Amino acid sequence: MNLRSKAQRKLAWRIGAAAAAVAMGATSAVAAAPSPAGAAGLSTIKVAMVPKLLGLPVFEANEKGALTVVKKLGISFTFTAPATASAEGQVSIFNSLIAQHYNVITLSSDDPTVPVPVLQKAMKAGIQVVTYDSDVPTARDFFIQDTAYNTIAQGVIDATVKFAGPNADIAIMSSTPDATIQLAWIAAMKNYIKVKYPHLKIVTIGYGQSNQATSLSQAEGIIHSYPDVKAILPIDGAAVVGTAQAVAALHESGKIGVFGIGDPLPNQKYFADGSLQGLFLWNEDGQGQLTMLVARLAYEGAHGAPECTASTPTLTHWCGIRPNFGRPQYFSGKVAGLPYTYTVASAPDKVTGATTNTIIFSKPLEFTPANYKQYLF
Amino acid sequence: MSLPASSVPAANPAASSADRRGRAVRAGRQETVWVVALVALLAGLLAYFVLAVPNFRALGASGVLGLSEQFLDIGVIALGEALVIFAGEIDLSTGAMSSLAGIVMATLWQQGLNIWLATVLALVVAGLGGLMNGVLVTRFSINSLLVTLGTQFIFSSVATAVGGNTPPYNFPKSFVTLAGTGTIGPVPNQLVTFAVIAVVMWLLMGRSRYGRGLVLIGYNRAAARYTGVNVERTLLGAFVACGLLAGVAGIFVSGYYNAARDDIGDSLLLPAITVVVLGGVDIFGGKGRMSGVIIAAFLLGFLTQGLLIRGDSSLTATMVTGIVLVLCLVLKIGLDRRAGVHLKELVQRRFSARRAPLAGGP
Repeated sequence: MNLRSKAQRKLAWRIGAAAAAVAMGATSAVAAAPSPAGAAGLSTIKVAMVPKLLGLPVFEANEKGALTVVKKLGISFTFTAPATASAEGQVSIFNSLIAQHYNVITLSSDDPTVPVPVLQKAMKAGIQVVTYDSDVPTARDFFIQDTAYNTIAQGVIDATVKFAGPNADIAIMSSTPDATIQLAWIAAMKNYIKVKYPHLKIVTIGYGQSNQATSLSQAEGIIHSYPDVKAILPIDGAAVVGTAQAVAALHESGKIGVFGIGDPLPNQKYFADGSLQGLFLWNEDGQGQLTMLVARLAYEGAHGAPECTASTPTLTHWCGIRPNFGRPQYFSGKVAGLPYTYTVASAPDKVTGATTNTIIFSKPLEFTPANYKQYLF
Repeated sequence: MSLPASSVPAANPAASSADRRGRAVRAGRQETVWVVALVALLAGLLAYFVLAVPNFRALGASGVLGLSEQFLDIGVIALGEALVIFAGEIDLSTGAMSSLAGIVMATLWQQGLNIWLATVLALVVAGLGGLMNGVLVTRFSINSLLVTLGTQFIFSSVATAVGGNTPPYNFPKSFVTLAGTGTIGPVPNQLVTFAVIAVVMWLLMGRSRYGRGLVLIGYNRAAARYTGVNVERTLLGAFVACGLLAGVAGIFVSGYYNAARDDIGDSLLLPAITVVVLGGVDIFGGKGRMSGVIIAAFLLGFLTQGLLIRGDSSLTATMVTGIVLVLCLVLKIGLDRRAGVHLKELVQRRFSARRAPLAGGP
């Protein structure tokens, strides 16, 4: 799969719109065949979206996406979060949401353990809990994982090979040697390289410690010590900036390719000056839409709607999803002319990185010098 | 080094002693007025939420009492912080101390120690931390603001070092119940613990020689020394108690979240100081009532929680809290003026150097 092909890119871009399409399909289908959850009878549910903190562009893009679908999904929507990334601040918000009888709480958690008691209390009170982006594995119904480890790794490697050829020397810039998600991405890249491009060689992995200055000096070190390196792959926010700065500072822009994992807004400058060729992330708008869809489906699943199965790929009629369903399910199809796809995994999966009851959102979205200006996160 | 006797009344050069005595009585009356006002405000606030916010009403009595679990950690810190502030000092390390106590407790437990023993040891560590603050302030005469600003960093970095990347969580049920979210009937265990501590603190400040000494130190340190108060030992005690109570708050928080975290106390410090000031304790020491602090803990806590339940964002809740604090302070200055302290004098009192050096005795 080459994400750089136009069709694929289009697809990836559209995945974000999938949830919206899904929603439209759902409501229109329901209108045609009145059921307990018919359009007229589509009860309004209260759903809260609680990101790690207020004011971060990626989370605001989630909100923007969610706002485009909540009406169709019959959701009364609240977006609220602490002013700083504080797990305690989130807990106090969750407590107030429980008292306000919300039907579904969606959150990107500041901490994997601190909110456990309050979220368990919410679940006991009959509230569905859906985590996205950052999980609380022991106290939620569903987790929406940003993207599968293997697909984002494939995206980065494919783009790199297209730039540097299948026999090039490449280097990776990571955050710290023990960062869970970066380790998973590196492993996925290595696996993919072994299968698809056996002559592509990772000569070194630098660690920028999630610090821009450290990333810069590490990347400069790589360029000096490995003169044959044709591309550097920064896979952490600070590493992207540091690597692009290093390439620009050493006048290697365009000669050494930089393909990474990160959001485009903070890196506009480097796209513009040619020191950054490609970034991969997921469509944050689309993730907000999917989060709202899953909120509705989780609510339906808990309130008696028939369970979604692969053979009734959602959204031709209302269905629900329930925790601990038997087997991994892959939903895909076409609704209102737009393709959508997401995966629901009931068991942990090392390849994709899914844990239990995980919904994997989309294939990654690629940002290039041609399209980066469209995305404000 | 002791001060010459003539400099003792320097705080109020214009006032004769009889005049000052009358003024002190009036100031005491104003303090009572303040506490009564806080009680009325709390009652009014609860009445408003019960009448106007259906979700708050729906919580019922036990639910409303249960809300207190979300702010009693701040309350406990405030009780300790009040002691230090009464004496005209401040402790900025309480938040970090809470984190450290939680981490120490959790780590010892993880190493196989009984959780209650771990809790006691964590409290001992907290008390020692307070002692360290106290010693630095009294023995070396370093400003407490600077001392605790420094020790704050020490405590929080030790907490980070001990806790590591994934601090322990999922404590035994008995611990989570007693220290965290358990209840006796409708009353949260934390509320019971807080009540016991609050009564002890109230007696300490209102009924004991120690408490009077502490306030006197805040009002006029030299005078306190002359009336036979052991300034150093009294201050040392206040800092130890402050550290210890910050430790108790750390245990509360760990129990409530069923997890320890190296930065869990960071968000507690400023609200706790807010409670103390709202409670009517002069930030420069020497004035206030412990009962005011106790009521202010509930006032601020219910205000925040009630606003959140009303559906306001946490930003709004924080803003309203700020407005309430500023309004209260303006009101209080008004009260102080009516008590006969003129504005000019008030400002003089605030900004004049009235601290006698600590070191050395007569």
